Amino acid sequence: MSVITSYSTRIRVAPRASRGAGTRMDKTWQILHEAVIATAQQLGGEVSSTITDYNGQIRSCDFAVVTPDFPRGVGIVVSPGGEVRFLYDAYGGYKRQAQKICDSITQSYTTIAVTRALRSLNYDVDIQEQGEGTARQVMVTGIM
Amino acid sequence: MPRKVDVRVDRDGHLKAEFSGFVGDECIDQAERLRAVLAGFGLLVEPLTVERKDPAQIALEVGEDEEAREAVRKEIKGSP
Repeated sequence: MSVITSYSTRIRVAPRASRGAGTRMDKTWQILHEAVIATAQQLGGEVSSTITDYNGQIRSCDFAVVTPDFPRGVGIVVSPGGEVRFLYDAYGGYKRQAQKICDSITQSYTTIAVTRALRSLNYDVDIQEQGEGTARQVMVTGIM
Repeated sequence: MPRKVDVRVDRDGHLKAEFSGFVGDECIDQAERLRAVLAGFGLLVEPLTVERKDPAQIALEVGEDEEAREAVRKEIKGSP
């Protein structure tokens, strides 16, 4: 038998206390970091650890992505238990630009996690990207 | 026929996974294993819809012979 299943997803990394650093960084935090780097590259932005609000106040985050479209940036804040939240100030009509960054981080994290999961189950994995912008999809194919 | 998993990752992180070439309930087992491994990588997934492929699609994927062999295996397992 074969099936087609659709899933909702939620990112939950390891608790903050077990984050680690450098080569000893926990694998879920490492994926999050890679997803942030991939998003910055994809959107022509930079990785940061701070964002700015409408009033110019600076907020610290675990990771942040700052893009030319949204220079205030989108931050990622992880709760002590590992819940991942996006932080940004979209006041003034920047909701779409902020959401674009959030979606890209989510899609990148999901793609990396699926790829590594399939490899750990001994599949040969191939990744193809389709479409652009809000229609961008990634196809991850595993063959055993 | 190789076993194949096609996973489409949408912009908002939603997933659509198609399991092909599996015999019997293997694909259900594989989907559960994938779900468990994904949780270890920090991605919690909840099934929204499950579509079972019709017999014609399955026959195309695994071949009529393989299905017949599986039926015989089940019969042998079930025999006293």
